[in-house]
Amino acid sequence: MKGIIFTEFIELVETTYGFSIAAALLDGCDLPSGGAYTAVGTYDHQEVLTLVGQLQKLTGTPASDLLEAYGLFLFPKLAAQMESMSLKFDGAIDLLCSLETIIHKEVLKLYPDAELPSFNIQNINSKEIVMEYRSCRPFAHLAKGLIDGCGEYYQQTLSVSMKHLNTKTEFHTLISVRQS
Amino acid sequence: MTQSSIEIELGYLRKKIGREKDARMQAEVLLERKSTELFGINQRLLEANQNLDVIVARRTQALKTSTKRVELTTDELQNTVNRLNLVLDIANAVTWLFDVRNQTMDIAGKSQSLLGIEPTKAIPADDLLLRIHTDDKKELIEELNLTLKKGKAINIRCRIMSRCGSFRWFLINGELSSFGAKSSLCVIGSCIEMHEQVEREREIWRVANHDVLTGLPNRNHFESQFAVLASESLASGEGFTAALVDINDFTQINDTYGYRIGDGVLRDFADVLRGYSEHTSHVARLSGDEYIIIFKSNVATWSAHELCQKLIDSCATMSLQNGERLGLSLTMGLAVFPKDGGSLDDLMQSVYSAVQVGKQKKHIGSSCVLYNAAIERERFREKDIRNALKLAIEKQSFDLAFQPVMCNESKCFVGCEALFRWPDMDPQWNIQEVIDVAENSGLILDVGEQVIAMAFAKLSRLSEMGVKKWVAINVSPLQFQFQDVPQLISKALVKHNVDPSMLVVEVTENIFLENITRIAAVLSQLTKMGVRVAIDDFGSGYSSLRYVQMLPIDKIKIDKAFIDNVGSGTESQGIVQAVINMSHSMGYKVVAEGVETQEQLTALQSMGCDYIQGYFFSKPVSFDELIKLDDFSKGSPLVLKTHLGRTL
Repeated sequence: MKGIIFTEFIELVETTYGFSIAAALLDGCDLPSGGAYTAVGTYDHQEVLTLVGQLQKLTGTPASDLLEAYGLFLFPKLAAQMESMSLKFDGAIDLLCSLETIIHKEVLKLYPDAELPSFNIQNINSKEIVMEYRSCRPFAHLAKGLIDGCGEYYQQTLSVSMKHLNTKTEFHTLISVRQS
Repeated sequence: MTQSSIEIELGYLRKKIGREKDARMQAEVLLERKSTELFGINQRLLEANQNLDVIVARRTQALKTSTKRVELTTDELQNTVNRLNLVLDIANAVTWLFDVRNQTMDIAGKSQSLLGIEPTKAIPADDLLLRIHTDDKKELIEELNLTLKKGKAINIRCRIMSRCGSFRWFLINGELSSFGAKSSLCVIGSCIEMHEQVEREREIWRVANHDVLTGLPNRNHFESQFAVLASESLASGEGFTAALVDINDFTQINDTYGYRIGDGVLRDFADVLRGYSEHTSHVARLSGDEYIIIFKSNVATWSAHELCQKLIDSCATMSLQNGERLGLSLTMGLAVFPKDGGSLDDLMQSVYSAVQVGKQKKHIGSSCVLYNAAIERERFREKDIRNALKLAIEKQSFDLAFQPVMCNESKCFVGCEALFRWPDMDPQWNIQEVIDVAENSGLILDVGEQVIAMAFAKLSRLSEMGVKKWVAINVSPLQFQFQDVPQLISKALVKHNVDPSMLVVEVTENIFLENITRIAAVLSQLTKMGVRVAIDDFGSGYSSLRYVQMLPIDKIKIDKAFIDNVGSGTESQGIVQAVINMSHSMGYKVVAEGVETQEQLTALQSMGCDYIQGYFFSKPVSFDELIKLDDFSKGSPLVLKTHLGRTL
């Protein structure tokens, strides 16, 4: 998993919970990387799960909420990178529909070793879609947080609901997005 | 904030600094690795780029070469096309392509305007066929079908309607081929304008095959037409009648009125013949005054005979250009193909034989003779004589008989006439008949040469014997026409060492029919050599004292026909007397031929005839018999005892 996910997560913890929680978090996790992350590096995704699990213990906030909050926090950072790549969209739905066909293709050009989830998009109408999340990692809520962040970025109100269809081999979630 | 929390945060920050350092080091390592990777990638890119440049340069060069080649090929192709177009243009030709499937004709070339065709892509073949001359269309279609069925090349001349609406001649060549991506079947070829050439050929053919004066087909054309006519006739089993027309004494018309009028008569006569086109299939002028008429097969022979009679009647009075009127006398001979002759030569022989029979009656005017069995018999008799003569000439089986001539003054034999004899001759024939055949067939030239040779041999013998008697030989007018008689005699004189004055050359009056000036010159050559000349059979033919006066002659021999009646008190005696008197007045001696009776001899002596020749003294005898005649060898006056037992 790309380093930016880790650096920004630490940044979120420091900003939201302060240095003491951040210190407890890092001290409480026996991370292979030792918590020394650089945005351009690549790290095991288990470290995120460890960090989120430890934070849940420290704050009492459910991991799903933590991941959604993190997605909301992360989106503007990713959007900045997206703009640097001259990727522009008409709005949140347009961007979400282009996730697989445009954005992930561009990401893979930059990071050929990146392991990305797949999103099969079903258009209900011009303002409503169903995104079928499939991944080997349990980050459907991170995805929801990012969708929320996308709505905020475009200043559009999105209603996002999730339906988990996970199996033993795969994390599978239907995410309904409706622009109101 | 409590002291402990401050320490916690400070501890966190210290650790964070440590983590940041580690992260930075990780990033630097990563950066270093990525830089190295990038450098490697860059190097590979550069190499790839260089390789690409080389490939691009190579490809660009190959492309340029190909482009150049294509340009050159295009130029060559264009040059070839230009050259072809130029050649087509010069040759007044176009190329054509007949699309068999679509039945269209594509014509290309600047000269296509010759055909009156606009430069469109392709036109229906039927449209073009409409422009072909009706007489040529069938043959062209047949040729095209043969090409399509058997692959035979087309080579045909035909007339095509030109832009101006008139038909012009073209040579069309073509071969079976294929065209286009689908290799469609087509016939491709050229069409060359050759109107002037064909017209010239036709004109040359017309001149070569027609008589310029009358415009009628000439002998050459008639013969080729006859070949077709004969094969058609034999195939259909329908014969036809041929008539040979001879204008009697046409030379006299030329002599009397001049060639211009004569030519006009021939033209008018040709027009008269053309007037019978309803009944005739062919009319041609064979020679100066000879024409041939071929009647249509549906014209019966008796009908053809009537038409010939009608032609004779219509020529009885013809208007001349000078306004005078002239009666044209014709001799016509008719024969039927294939009955009287199954080939051109045989048929012509038949009509000529019929004409010959008619000619014998020409003094009574025009005649029209149908070839018949009697003429055929005569013809075959002549043919037999001719063949036997040829054999005899080869074997030199002729001989001479000699009839002595007595001088009325000295009563001595002064010479003799050598007469042609043929010991092996078929007894059915007579010698005069043989001479006539020899004259008509030209064999007289060979016979005459042998006669001269034999006569000289005998003259030589006489000379050796010391007998100074002259020998007269008969020379045919034909010999004067076709042989150098003076040279022939001159050589013989030298060869046999004979006194030229002992030779007398006898010529008949027929010689007057020749160019009299030339004959006078030839006879003068003989007399200059010392040879003497006599006119034989005087009075039987074209007797003309004017002509006689022009010739350097020594004697005149009066024809036996006049002598026969001498002494019987008829008018012949007066004529003979007149001839003797006139001859003497011109300085000529006179010989009487065929003297058989005492009365004739007495009369002739009293009339002053210089020499006597005839049975009364001696029939023609062999040389041995001649020299045994005492009076001949010794030169003494005749004992006046004739072979008839008479005494003078």
